[in-house]
Amino acid sequence: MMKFQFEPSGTRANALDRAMHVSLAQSLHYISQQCLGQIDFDAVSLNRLVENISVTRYGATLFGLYYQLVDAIDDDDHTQAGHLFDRLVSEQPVSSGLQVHAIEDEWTSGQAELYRRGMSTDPTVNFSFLQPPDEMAAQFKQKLVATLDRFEPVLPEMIAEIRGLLSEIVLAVGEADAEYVFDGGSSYQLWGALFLNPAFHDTEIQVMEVVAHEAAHTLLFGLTVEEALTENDDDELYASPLRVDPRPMEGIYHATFVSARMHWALSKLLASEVLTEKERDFALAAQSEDAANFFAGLSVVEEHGRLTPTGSGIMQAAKQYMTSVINRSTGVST
Amino acid sequence: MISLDHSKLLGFKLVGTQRSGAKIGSKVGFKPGRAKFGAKIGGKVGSI
Repeated sequence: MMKFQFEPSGTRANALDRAMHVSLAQSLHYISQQCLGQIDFDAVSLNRLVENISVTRYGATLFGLYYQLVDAIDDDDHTQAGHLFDRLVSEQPVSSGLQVHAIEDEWTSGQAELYRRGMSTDPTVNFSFLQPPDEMAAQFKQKLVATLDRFEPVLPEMIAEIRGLLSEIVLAVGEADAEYVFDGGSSYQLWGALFLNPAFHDTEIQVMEVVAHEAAHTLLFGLTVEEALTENDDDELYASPLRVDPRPMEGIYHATFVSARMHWALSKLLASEVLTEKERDFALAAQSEDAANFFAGLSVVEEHGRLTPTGSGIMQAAKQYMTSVINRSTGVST
Repeated sequence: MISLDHSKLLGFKLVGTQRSGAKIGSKVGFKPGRAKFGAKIGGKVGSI
């Protein structure tokens, strides 16, 4: 299996999830050594946690707490850092399987606040993440489970990849009168969690599409533990063919890649017999839009992107897939 | 004062030293909602 292969891989996803945990364990160990004698924390319990993280799966809360701890230490707030060490050592491994829950269905104290903080690190984006109505959350959860079950025979590796990368799907809605709301989201600081807005995604194929989209972001996060995708500074903004506002190259790169991933998923579904006529119409239109967005994004990446070997390898694989199935001049699938 | 070596933090490679001011691990991928956006921003593709 190639690290940069475009097609989904459950094996790779499991390896990336483990690598992320091992990296977290190593970093937490380093931080604890730096804090010994200066911050009051239970070093024995922390060492036990570090050992457990290296071999066991933990949820997004642990990763979120880690970033809060880093902030507290950088801010020289030793009292807050001590509290965060306490919260870290009380974390437990997650149960097996992909958990689905609403944002305020808390498993641990302060989890919703932690999630909101982790999802709000981009100063140019200001979304709200509110608790959905119970009925909406319950219905969406049923639809999500049904979607993954229904499409797993057609997309076994993609579903395996999703289960490998994600430990939980968090449901949240925006403010009713907001001008800017989100369909879905994911944060590097909340590894293993994917956020979906249950007010959208009416149909199962729309659910599959948004999960494929967000899992592709998570995959890129996992592939960039050792090296970034691009060397462009975030202050360098380029006209994005995908948004009205200029975006950093990293964002254009991500959007381009996830377009190809959504195209791949829809292509597999269209090639199967599982879709209704209405779903096929949706998939064909979305697939065409994904292809147009991919090549528009690719042109910006190729013209302005200073890609690292990792970024180049991943994008080359995506380009190879897209050019193999699309007549670039017409946008027609072949 | 404790001074952490940021190269030993998870997510350092993602933001890199050249990205001054960026907080470690501060990358968020979004798929913006469609209903309340203009044509392009409401498209299928969200931004990181």
